Amino acid sequence: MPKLLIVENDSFAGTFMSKSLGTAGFSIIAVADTAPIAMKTFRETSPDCALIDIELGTGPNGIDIARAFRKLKSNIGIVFLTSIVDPRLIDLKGLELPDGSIYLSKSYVSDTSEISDSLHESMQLAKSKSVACIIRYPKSQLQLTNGQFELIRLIAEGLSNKEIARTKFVTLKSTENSIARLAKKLDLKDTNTNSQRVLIAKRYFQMIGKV
Amino acid sequence: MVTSDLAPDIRLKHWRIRLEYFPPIAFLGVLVSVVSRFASFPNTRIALAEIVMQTVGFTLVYIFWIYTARALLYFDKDRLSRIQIMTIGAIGGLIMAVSQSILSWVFDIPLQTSFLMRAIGNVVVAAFWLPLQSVVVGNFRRYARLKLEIREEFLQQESVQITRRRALEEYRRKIEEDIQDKLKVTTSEANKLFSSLSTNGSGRLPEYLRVISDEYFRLTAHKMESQIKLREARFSNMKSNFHEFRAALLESVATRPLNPVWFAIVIVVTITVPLTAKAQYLLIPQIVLATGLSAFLIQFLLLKSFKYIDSYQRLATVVATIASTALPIILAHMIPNNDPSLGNHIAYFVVVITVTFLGHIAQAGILKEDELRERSLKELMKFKDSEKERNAEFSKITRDWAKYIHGNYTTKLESAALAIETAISAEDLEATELAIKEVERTLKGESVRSISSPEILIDEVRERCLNWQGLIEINIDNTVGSEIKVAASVKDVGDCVEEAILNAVRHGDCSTIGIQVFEKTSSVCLVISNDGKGFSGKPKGFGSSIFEEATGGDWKLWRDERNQSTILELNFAKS
Repeated sequence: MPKLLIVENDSFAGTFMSKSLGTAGFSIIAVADTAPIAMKTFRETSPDCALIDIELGTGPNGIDIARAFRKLKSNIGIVFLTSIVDPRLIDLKGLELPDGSIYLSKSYVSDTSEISDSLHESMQLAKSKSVACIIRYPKSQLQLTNGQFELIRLIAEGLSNKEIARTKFVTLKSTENSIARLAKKLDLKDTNTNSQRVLIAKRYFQMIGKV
Repeated sequence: MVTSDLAPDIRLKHWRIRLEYFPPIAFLGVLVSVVSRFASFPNTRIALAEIVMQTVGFTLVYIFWIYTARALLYFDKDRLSRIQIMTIGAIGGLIMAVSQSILSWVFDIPLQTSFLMRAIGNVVVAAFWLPLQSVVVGNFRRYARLKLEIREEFLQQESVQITRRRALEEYRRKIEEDIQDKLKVTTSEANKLFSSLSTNGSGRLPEYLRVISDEYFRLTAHKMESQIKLREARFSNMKSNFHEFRAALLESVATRPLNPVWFAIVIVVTITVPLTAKAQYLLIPQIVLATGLSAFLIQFLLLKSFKYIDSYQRLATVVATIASTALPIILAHMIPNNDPSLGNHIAYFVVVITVTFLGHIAQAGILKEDELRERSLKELMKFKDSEKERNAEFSKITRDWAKYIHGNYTTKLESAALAIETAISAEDLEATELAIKEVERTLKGESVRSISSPEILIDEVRERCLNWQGLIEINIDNTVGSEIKVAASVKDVGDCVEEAILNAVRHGDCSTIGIQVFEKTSSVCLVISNDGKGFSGKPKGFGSSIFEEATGGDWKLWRDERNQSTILELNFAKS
């Protein structure tokens, strides 16, 4: 029976997953809600796989923890379970998801067996080297381009049009046009530029599950 | 307390006089007076003249009472003392005696008692009559008020029960919608998930939805149930108060209570009322005194003997009343040249029995009202306590629940807001202030707290490092002196440390971080070094703006190739 460590700061979700996956054939070691606890438990028990929530509040996130796990045990199976609808909403380049891990959006999952299967799959993937992270999310929900995902993220981070233009190496006019197209796509009716930025940011935080 | 200009209250400790009740009471007084006299007059002319005299006398007395009381209330008084009320009554009695003398002269009817005797009788009776009647009226008003309150409460209960189910259903629907919105699922998806739950029961999301929804619903239902229970308890208390009060009034007719003060009042009124009448056998003061004392002793001893047995007490009351009333009649027959008629006896009986029963009812009402008031107060305190407990329980459960759904910040705010609401509804000032402080603290966060000592700075750095414990090794070295003040806020410094660690781990892939804190002439310096792979090019991104803002631009990042470490230096200006 594979040993599973759950890293989840939402106690309800943690308990629920613990019970569900416990009945699905996993031996649940613990539900850790902070990075220090997760690391301590990991060192003491050396689990075979880990189910990790990406958003853990302040401090290290789930990806930081996963990378630390991998340093200590290279063949650990890792599944990320997150409320962020689409991984393109976060800066994955900077986060560098560990190889052989599986990214699952909560919106994609409708049954415990899907998480259970992914955990088994991740343990197999971890053994074979150089396999990129598998990302699973409901594609139909957002019809945005990669550029638009980056744009919405930058707006939510509080960057001005000038700063966005500088970051993306485009002109100010082009950035303004991109934002207008994004607002239209998100079906935001307000034409006031400032309100529109707030609404876009709000939509972003809704999409990543923070509101 | 003055309730209105037209009908002010004259409130004593327990006695309450509503002036609009005076006419009926005055009529009762005239009736008693007339009945007590009618049979003893030789012809109709004298009897009618006596009725007119009594009516005019009583009317004058009541007019005097009303306007004197109003005048006193007008002059900055919201209540009158017992002595004041009895004095008003006594003066009224004197007025009556004077009016009777004048009218007897007008009607040419010889009065058989001297002015002094009538004056004494009237003064004593009127002094006690006013508070006595006010208590009796107060009792019946209380009876009516209780009945009205119960009716209103009953109607409200009905209405609450009828709307409760509907309200709960509506609330549940709203909660489900709210949760669906929070978890980003559409109604159709939610329905699908709910139905899949009922068929296979293993869906994570529907289970999540259902549990939260049920939990929230349960809490709301719990709160509403508590409120309903509270209402029910209050209603039951009101009903029992009403029934007890009514029973006490009814019981008082048959049973004379043993409060010595009230007992004495009734006796005094009993023996002085006849003084004002033309009752032949009570014209001699010695007999008045003898009969009064005898009546008092008979009643007191009989009642005292049977005070522990209810049924005997009733019997004793009846016997005592008859005995004390019959004694003067027997004495009257024993006095030479005194031959009272049947009318005299009837008159005496009417007066004594009326006053006795009024006294009973008055006293029983007061005693019972005291008892009920005390009990209601205790009950209310119990309600308050249990309400507080319930609110605290609800607050705790809800706060726990809130943690399941919201993020930390929202949870804190929501919990604090809930705490305020609960504290206000429980009228708990201390808890309200605490809750308000909690909101302020949450809203302000740590952002406005300035660094006024090295401990605050180091504590913040340590706290930010705590989250990374286990992932990397962090060594903190502090050499700051005992007194420093930094312009930047605690949060700004903490954010810088957090960002520096985050960059070192994510981009530098480091395993060890060293933080040195030391003092410069005009600033406090934080040097954060790591053994990671370093960076290429000019530092940019979100971190840069945080460092820039917190230090006012006084920061630098460089690579020490010789020691293979990346170093970030942050200078926070002293204030």
